[in-house]
Amino acid sequence: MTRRPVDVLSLVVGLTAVVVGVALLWTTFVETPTALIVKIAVPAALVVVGIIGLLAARN
Amino acid sequence: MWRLWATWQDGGVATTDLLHRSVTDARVAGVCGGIAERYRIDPLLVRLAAVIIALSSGVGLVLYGAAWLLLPRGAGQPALMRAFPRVARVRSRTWSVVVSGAALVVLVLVGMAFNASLLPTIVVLGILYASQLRPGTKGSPAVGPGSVPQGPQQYQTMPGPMAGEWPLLAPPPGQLIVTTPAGPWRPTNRYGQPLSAQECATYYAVPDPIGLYQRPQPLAPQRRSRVIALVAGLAIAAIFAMMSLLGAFVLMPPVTYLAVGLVGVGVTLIVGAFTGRPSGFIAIALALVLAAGAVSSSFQTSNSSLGQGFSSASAMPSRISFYGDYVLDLSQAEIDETKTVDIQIDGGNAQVILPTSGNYTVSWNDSYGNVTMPDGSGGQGSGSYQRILDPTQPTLTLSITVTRGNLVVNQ
Repeated sequence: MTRRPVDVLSLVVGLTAVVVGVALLWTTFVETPTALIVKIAVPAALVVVGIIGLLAARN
Repeated sequence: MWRLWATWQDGGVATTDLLHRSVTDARVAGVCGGIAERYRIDPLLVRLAAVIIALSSGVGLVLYGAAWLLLPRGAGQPALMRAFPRVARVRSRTWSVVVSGAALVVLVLVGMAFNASLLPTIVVLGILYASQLRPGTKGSPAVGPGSVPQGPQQYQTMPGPMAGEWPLLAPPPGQLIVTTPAGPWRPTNRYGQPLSAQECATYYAVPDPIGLYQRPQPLAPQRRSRVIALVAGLAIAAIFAMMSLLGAFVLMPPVTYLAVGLVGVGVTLIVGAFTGRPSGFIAIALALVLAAGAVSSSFQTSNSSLGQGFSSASAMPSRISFYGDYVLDLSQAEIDETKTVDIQIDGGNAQVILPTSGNYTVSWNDSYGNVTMPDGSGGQGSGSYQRILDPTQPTLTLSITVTRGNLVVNQ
């Protein structure tokens, strides 16, 4: 049984767009994240998106 | 419009390829009918869009009026040029600036009066129509009997030595005639002329030199991704419409639309990664990210500033909210009642001058900037500062939140 190929570019761009959109909504309606959170969350989110892209590319 | 203008200025003849006011399909001035004829869109859609734009932001009225004056009716002269021939000397770029400026002024004035605007919804629907639904776009159904067949599987094959491998057409010599579901179709060359016998012979000698028709791509993924794009676009448009209605009651910053659009496009792309990429959505996502970044950074560079002073605590409002640099002078204020004032400053620095007499408590929260209190304390984050001279007297409590900027509190 073969796996269905995944369009990695769409997946990575889509995940990044969702992360940026949610962050903007959070900043607008909830609170502005502190500098410490931004310093940690932004690189962590990019690493997570990258790992998901790598895992999807392996399939 | 401006190409037509140039044609008219040059004494050229207007054709249906250029924008004009329709002669045959006119309800008011024929502007919508002319646009529908030029771009081959259903006139009802154009009129619907024009009415919605006019009602939601007022820009539609400006654009319609400009088109009425500047577009010719049929192949004639524009109304403005007929009335004032000297105006014809004005360059088309000048008119572009004038019309754009007028539209911008109306947009700002209407936007200041009403928060609810359907403009974002119209933009989404326009992109959706232009990219997915307009005849001739990728994936749109073929229209009319003269449309080109979509693939070799629609050709009528005939028995022959290569039958089964190549999609053979009707026999030469003469003209090729292909039977399609829409009726007989006569293929032509790039100049619109029927294929000659020699061309037919060439075709039969090497019917598919580059393997174009060897393995026709299945249409299912394209159709699936198109359906996803349509559903996602309509969903985003519906959400924008609801946000516009909410905008009449709650302030909706422009960045909210960009953020919601980003989430919608992102979810569509994630779904499309497994089912078929919706065309154009990656470009839309990148454009939205750039626009959101530009809007967010513009918020941080506000040049607005405000200074306020109060003579007593009772004269102060319970909540002060300002965007930009803010100075609150309470040096002459008398604390005549116990009161709590919530101060929120965004996109600028804040300075608070405390009363010289009386009890007060200051609690502060600054996410990014530095805080300086009268005793030298402060830093980043949150904290409090108080002076209680006489516990039996009223106390003024200031709760200060600075989102992006520095806070200085002094006496």
